[in-house]
Amino acid sequence: MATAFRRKGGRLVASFEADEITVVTHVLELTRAFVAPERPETGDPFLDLVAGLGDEIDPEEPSDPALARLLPPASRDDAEQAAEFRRLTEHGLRQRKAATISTAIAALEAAVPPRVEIDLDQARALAVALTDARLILGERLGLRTDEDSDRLHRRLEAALAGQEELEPATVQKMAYYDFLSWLQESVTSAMLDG
Amino acid sequence: MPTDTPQPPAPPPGPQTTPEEEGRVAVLDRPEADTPWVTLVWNDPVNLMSYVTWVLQTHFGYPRARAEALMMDVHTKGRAVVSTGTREKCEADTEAMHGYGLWATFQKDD
Repeated sequence: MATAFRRKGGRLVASFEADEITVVTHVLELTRAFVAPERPETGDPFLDLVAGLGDEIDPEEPSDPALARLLPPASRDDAEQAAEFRRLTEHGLRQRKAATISTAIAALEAAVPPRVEIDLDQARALAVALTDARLILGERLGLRTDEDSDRLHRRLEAALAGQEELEPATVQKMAYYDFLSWLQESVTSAMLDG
Repeated sequence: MPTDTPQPPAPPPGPQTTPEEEGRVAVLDRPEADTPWVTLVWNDPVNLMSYVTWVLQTHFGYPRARAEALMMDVHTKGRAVVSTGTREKCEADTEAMHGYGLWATFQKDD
């Protein structure tokens, strides 16, 4: 059973079961694969830069609503402004998101359960990475309003108690979402306490 | 290549102020063209109140109370202006907010 992060000087300390860490890193790995740039990096900064200047097709708003939420339009009424912003920023944004998620995964993988001890850079990466994971899960669960989110925990408890019939896959997504929300609240509160 | 030694241009007429007043006048006279853009953050059902507060504190350096007030505006009114400035600044702030997973847009302040 996990315990929340607490601030200890410049570090955050929590405890997790090995299984809980495995679940979180697994979801973060899926999130990274989902958001990482479609154009692979060559590893050569010059070639990567030139590739970005080439004649490739400008990125369009993603058709998958979860990806569209991670890479949202920067204007709600000016399609031209949003397209220009996307052309200039989307690739870099995807790169940074993937790198942040990698930092979070590495921090969790370095832990010796049950003790998880991370520094503030790792805590920041974990909080941001969990946001992307939760945005994807939230979209897949059809969360549209604050009320939907408020009801989720109760619905999950009802389903686990056999009081509400839900697809097992839905229950699993809800359980992941609920746990990641708790974890993110724990990391964020500990950072705000500093 | 010019052969005449160019004369330095006459300095522009400055405001007739004492040095003590200059800072204030400079702020008041800031051209409107410098500050007609805003960055908006929109409410969503996923991002936690504590996380939005932390992002606004971390990225903009706002004090806790201001970050919480803006977060509550996002939560209760559906959106809030989180920064103002040049178009370039608001573009950069929007890109940073997207990095944090907040949905931000930028537009002319009208």
